[in-house]
Amino acid sequence: MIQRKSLRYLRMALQVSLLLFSIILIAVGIWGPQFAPKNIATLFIWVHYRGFLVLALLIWGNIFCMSCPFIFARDCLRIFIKPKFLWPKKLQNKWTAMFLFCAVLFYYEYMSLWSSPYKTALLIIAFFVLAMFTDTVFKKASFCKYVCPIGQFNFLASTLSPKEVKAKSLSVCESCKTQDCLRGNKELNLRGCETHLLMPRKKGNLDCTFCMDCVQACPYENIHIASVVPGSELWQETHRSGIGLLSSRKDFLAFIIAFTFGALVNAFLMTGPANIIKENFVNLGIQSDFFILLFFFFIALTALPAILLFIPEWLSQKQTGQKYKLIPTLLPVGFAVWIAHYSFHLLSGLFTFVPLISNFDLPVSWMGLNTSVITPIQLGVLVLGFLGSILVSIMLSENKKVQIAWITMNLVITCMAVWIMILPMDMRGTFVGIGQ
Amino acid sequence: MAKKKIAVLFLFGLIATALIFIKNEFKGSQTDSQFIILNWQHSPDKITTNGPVEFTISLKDKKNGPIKNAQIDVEATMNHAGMKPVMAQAKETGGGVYKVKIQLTMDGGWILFLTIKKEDGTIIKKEITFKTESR
Repeated sequence: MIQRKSLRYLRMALQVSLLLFSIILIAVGIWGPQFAPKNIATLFIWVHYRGFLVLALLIWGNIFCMSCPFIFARDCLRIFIKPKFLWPKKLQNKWTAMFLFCAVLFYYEYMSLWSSPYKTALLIIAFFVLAMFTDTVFKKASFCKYVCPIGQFNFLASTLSPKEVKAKSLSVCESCKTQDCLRGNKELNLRGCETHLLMPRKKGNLDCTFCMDCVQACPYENIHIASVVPGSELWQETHRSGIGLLSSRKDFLAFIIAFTFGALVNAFLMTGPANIIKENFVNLGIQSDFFILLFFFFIALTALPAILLFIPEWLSQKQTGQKYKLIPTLLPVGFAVWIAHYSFHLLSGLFTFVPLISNFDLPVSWMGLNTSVITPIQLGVLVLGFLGSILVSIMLSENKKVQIAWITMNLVITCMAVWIMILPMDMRGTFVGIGQ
Repeated sequence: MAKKKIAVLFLFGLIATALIFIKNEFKGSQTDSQFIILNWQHSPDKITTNGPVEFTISLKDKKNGPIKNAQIDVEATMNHAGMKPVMAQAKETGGGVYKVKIQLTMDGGWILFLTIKKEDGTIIKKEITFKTESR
């Protein structure tokens, strides 16, 4: 019981810390200097937060959902306003969240968020407002399960994490009649799982926010954070509580595709060749940034996946009769692309915040690692991701032809990612006027 | 429940106070940089990463007179947060004109942050933004 209580306090401490941190970032983003390199809002969000997020998911698990400040703010609001409605049945899927995920990626490029502290602050505010509005109107964790694009990113990436919230003994669960992990315990005022996961049938990390509600609610103290083989849940083709069969969930599968190819377009758009393509559009008379970006996103998120996935998927269906079963093989390589990209920013600018928050005159060479050190790390991560995709392909299908087709497709994605990572970078951006 | 409500109200009251404090902090730290008229040129005409770029900065006061003997610290940084800056110091060539050579390391948007220390000790900060055109 002590352990469970301390978990609750630990979570609250993490949430309050991130809430206060978010408030500071919002304030500095709005009222602070409007130059991205001189403002901690842009620096901490686009360099440190994103970098630590993917590394935490890789090394431990979904600690950022666990520490979510939006949910803390929502919980505070729910003390005053109780939600009355259930999330609409037609929207009980990942399509809304996937649209928002793509929209955030697009908005990041279109509004040049990396160079605007003010717009970065507005994005944080938008997340708070959306979370608080959704969850004061709708019951349970509707925001986390159906809306939050960061949450969905974390869910997909955490399938590759080494930690998972699990039952200690399934036989204890079998004898349980109350299902407190799902329903909660009203007498003790303990919440059950707000994303509808019943512990004995919960498989893996999908839809798990690491909120620890189930750990506290279980009267048998039968739930803990366990170590698992990263990615092993991807080849467990069984019914998952609150989700169903992954291969029958088109929304999840589409999200896996958006997650993987979104990583490529997000990294590609900060390279020289992307800007050459943009300039060619301008030379052709297409001046609108919106339409040029729409073209990039259309190619990356629909045309490219359609071309690359067509043959392996067709072969899978022909050889085994199973539809979409191997799409999760994209996740390891997709996650590797996110890590390779975000770790570049994190490692190259790890200590660039020091001069912003102190008077310490940090030598430039100490501010971060050189590209010559980071590039091999990035390439190593991509190779590991590819190896992960090979493993998942082999585990998900016994048919050699199918395995080869999917491994080849993942190899093509890996090669594209390697090409992007070694391309000359071109930090395009908007300007705030010339000092006069 | 009442205790929880008070705790939440207290927390958000604290946050509101912190916000007001931060806002005032930034209001107070804003300096009036209009005392200086800054003009700048660069050589070569096309700013690239292929070789060092020489920036010529001319400083004039309100009355259009040259500002001599100032010390200008230059920090060249990309407009994406978290990139390593390039540090340099501009040298006066006479008549309130200063020159600094910088090797830009990556293509894209750049900002030159100038810290200008006038002879009388006044410190003024200015920024110059530009974009490389290596292609």
